[in-house]
Amino acid sequence: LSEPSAASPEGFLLPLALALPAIGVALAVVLGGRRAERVALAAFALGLGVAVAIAATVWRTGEALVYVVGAWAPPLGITLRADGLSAAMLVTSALLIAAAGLYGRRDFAGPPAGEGRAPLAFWTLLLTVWTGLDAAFLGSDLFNLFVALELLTFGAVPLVSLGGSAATLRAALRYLLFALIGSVLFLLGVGLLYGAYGTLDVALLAGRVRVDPAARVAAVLMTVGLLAKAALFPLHLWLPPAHAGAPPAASAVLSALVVKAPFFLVVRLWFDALPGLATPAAEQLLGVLGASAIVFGGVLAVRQERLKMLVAYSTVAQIGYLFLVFPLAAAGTPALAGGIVQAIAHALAKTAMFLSVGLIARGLGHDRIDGLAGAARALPVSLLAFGLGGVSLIGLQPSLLRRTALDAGQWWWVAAMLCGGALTAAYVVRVLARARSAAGPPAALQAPVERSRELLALALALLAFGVRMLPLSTLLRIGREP
Amino acid sequence: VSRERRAAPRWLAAFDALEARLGSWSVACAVLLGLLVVLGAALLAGC
Repeated sequence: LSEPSAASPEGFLLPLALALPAIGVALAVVLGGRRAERVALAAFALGLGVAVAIAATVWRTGEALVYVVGAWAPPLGITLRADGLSAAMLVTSALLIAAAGLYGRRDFAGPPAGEGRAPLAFWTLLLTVWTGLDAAFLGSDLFNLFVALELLTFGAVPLVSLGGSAATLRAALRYLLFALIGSVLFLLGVGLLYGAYGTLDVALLAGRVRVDPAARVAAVLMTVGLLAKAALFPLHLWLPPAHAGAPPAASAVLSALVVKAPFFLVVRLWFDALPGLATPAAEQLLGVLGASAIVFGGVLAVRQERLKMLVAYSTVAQIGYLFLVFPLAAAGTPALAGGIVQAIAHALAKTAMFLSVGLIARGLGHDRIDGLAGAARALPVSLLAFGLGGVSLIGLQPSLLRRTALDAGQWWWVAAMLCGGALTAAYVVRVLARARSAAGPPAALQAPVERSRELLALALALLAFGVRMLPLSTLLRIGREP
Repeated sequence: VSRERRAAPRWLAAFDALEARLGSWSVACAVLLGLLVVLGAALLAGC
């Protein structure tokens, strides 16, 4: 990592990316009513522009962007830093938050005057989650990253319970408890590192850290805390009811983005803050948990009778792919870039799938898979978006992770990925076959479905399918090589 | 949201049983502690 005090000329873009959604939250709360929606939509447009500008600057200069807050250099002050990984995740977040917002306009249209609680809550929580995501992707101080995680949790948990039913409140409470346990473990590790090394700046810590018990115990506490927040098997129990019970726009954000932030922080911790600390046994352990998640989540997704639960269990499986990065990156391979590309492709596909499932449930009045017969004729675009999103998850396109595993001679991870692809194909084909089936009473539209929302889901599914073809690995390496 | 499941062979139903077992708070806490110990052992092995 570069010296933390070396600020970049375009570094002002980083606090701007953080401030935009935060100001949006404050304005939405103050203005309320329909104006909250307008504030959020304006923030989405501006924020997407800033995220693209950050990524373009990182790409053009070939260096990480750095901003030193208040011109106080670490360890006294803090810095914001955007390398290629951060830039890619910032653009993905801005794009998908905007897509969820556009989709949610119909479901959370506020009253013309006065306060509508659910719409106001939706827009402010969406902006809060976005602020937390940006803080997690840009932070380079471990305590700031803890604050980002907390912001994310306290935005995401109420999003789960927006429906207000007893089941969603239970799911939200379980999510909150898991997230808080994760936070406590993370904070304990942060305290240990500060006591041992006197700094929490990622770049300074990387230079000072020694292979000693204090650093290793801190790494264990922080990693397990982050695994609980990322819902990696066997700590995934909170995820399916929480993600399946939320409104579709919220489910999309939770599944696509919120669980990626803890994964991103495990990457920051293992590769940037505490380099050289991981042992092959620990890396293989994370890989085994990832492979178990792929198989376990895939089998349970095949077994579901409800579309939203199927997509939620698919997320449990897909998180597993990300953790294969750790045993593979140990071999000095481009596995890290492969993992981030996988995270971005999954985020796009999962948003498309949750949005299309929301439209199918709205159109048919239910999301039972057995009741989908004939749905392909009633809702062809939504089914196409679901199918394309699913096909992109199967992994037929070239995969950097798979190639890296083969090059490293670690064929067992390739076997896990192929098994995951087969299970994904099984649950996607099952839904599509049922939707095309003529057996049983044909599905009839109970409510109109807006073509614009169907096309939005379809566009995201197409993007998910094509994103692996983009030269993302060049961007992802920026700011990470000496 | 319903957690209905399809009828399945016994080996497949074992996944449901494991899922249900993991759902209890006592087992979840044990899993968390187990992970701390196992990952700790894997990392501290190099000290």
